[in-house]
Amino acid sequence: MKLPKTLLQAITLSIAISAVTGITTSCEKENIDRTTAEPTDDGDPKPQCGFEDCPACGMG
Amino acid sequence: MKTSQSTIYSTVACNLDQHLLQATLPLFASEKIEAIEWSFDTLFKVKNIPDWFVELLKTYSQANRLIGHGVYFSIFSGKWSEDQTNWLRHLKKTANHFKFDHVTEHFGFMTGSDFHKGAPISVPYNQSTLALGRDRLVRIYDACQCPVGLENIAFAYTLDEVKQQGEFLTKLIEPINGFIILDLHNLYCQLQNFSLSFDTLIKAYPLDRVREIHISGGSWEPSDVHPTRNIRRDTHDNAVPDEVFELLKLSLNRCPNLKFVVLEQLGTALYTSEQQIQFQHDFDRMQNIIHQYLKKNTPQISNTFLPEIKSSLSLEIPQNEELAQQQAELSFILETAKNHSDAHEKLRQSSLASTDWKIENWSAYMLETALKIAQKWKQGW
Repeated sequence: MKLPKTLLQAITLSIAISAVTGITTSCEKENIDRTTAEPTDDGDPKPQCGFEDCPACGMG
Repeated sequence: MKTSQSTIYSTVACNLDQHLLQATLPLFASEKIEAIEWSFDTLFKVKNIPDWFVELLKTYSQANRLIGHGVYFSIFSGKWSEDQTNWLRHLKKTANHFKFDHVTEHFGFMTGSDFHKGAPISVPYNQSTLALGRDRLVRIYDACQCPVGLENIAFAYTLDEVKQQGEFLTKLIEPINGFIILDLHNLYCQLQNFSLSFDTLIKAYPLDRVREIHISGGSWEPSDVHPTRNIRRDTHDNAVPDEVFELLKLSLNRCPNLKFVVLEQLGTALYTSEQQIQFQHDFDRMQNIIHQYLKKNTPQISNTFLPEIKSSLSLEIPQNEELAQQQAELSFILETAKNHSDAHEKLRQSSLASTDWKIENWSAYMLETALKIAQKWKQGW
């Protein structure tokens, strides 16, 4: 399905800003400092939680 | 029977997650994503949804290609909670704002003491839970006023439970003329964990009631109580296995009312560019399978999945105190037991012993898995 160009640009911009500042997630709302999380093998901060990190399907 | 020509939409589970959006952006830009599934109850900690995300939802909604997927309602909780009342209120408001083509929830009850903590676990299939589940589904329909469905659960304690889930789902959705999500990775977990054949298990599901299919990846976990067996878990944190794509090929022509096939993956499993590219490949592969099928077949949908008769709702919401007590006891045991043996012993002495829960028949390696799931999610996410 075709999306308006302005919408795609807005998503792109949001991702770019998030990559610099960290996206507004439930982690931030609970004041979990993602930057001090345990690093992964490649040195990136390890995610603590996220919107897609959910238990819902019963074997997660 | 009245039928209408339809198609099958290649869909992604799309939520407000930076890495998931990074992975899906090239698919949006190349106009491949035909519909999106949004877990409308997962933004409970966010005060303001960004305008562009609202616009994304509205764009798909206006094309009748937005579907809602709840996570937290916990349809089988014996005790009704204020959080469930609020959940329905939120759904009603959301469904007025964004038109959903349908709304779905998960089978089971959530183990956590907090509404947003815990994991779904199965319940006994008896008249009492059937009545409770039916009532809750009518309330969901009353709130959203669109077709309502339930997803098959991956977890089961016994082979009997696996074989009976399809029949129980059929009975549950009957009053609302509802549908089911056939999650093929959940099915794959059951095939692997209980050594079943696809042909045997698929016959146990009401395939004419499938309006949505899910595919996703998962992981293997070794079992201490059954060292020769690895347990397949629906963790949504890996690429879709070849076997699940094969299950999709086998399922398409068996589900005459199918409308959406959804690729699900956790944003936390899409951190690297390699993972994101793999996700895009998985979507392309899924879409290619669907398009190949559609070249030779024209789906004729024969069911609106809207209730034929409006069910009445009692002002007093049905509850089951005995079930609530058993669920609280089970949740506590699963969340605190040191290991399988400890859990087994505590269950033997609990109010669940010698009841429809049939704890005496539970597979040791699946009880061990239940402990791992409950303890993973007891602090929420």
